[in-house]
Amino acid sequence: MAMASATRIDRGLGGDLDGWNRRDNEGKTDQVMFRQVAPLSDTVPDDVLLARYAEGDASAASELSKRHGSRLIGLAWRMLGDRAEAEDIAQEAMLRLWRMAPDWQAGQAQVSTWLYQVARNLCTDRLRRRRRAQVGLQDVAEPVDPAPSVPDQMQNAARNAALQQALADLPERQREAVILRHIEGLSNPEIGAVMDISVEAVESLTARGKRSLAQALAGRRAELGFEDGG
Amino acid sequence: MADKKLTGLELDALFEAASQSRPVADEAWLGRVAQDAESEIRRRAGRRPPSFWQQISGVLGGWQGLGGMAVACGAGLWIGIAPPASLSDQVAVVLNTSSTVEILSETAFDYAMVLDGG
Repeated sequence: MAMASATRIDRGLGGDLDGWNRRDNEGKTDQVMFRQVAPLSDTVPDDVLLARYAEGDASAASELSKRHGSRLIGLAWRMLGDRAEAEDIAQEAMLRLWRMAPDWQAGQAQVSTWLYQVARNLCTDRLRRRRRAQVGLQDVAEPVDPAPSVPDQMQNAARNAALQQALADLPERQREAVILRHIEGLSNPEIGAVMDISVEAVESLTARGKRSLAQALAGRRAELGFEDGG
Repeated sequence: MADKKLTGLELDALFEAASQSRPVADEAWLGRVAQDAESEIRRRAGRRPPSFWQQISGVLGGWQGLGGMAVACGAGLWIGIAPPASLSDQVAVVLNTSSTVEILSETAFDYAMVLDGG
């Protein structure tokens, strides 16, 4: 059997040829793997993109990564407090989506919910390993504002850092619920689906989480710019 | 005196700040994820669906199952074409033997008639 090497020749979007060349030992090349793709738009639903990826359209995967990457990294970063680990988690979640693509049942779940669920589980595993290794969230990395700060964003940066530190002290499930509800902006039913709990349980977790945050940050009112009553 | 807890509005301001400073998936990360996606496509393309004969072989238990079946078929065919002498005798015995089952013997019948007659 001839060994084949793959060489990327074109990665165009918008109907361009999106494929690989495979060259065998005799030097012959043939077009394999990727289909010629139609233009993608922002309005194409996630599950349609995933179906297109399952048929070999790599540009659909790029579009899905752009849509969900930042949110996944954000969730994992809030959970773990470490940017590099957060990127690993988000990449792993996307890889699992690629593997799941051929068996994806359209309409049974939302791609975004599924990705959050996988990322959350991966974060939980990572935190469990840390606990076994006796490493606290505060010990891993000092939370920093991942966006570059400019002078007029200093206040936001301080608030963001303080919140991240306070979140790190919350029980894990409260932290997850608060992040998903108040930072990622998911609805309670969506959070329930991600965490596999009832809407009432989500409400309870977020309420308790917020109470704990309000208490934990009470001593930092001035630092956060709330001296005048917020 | 204990510090006053943050109000709901103040917490919302913190969440807003956090939402605005969400990490962004940079080009390097997107590139790594695209590589994963393309590798997965290549992996799937290299994994052909099993052929008809591979499926049949799988159902029958692989090469062990097929080997056993081939031996059994060969032996059956051989016995059919050239049966061993001892096997022929036994088959003849089975096929040519008739048996009589005597439900009521003659003596027993006579005895019954005597009893019936009183």
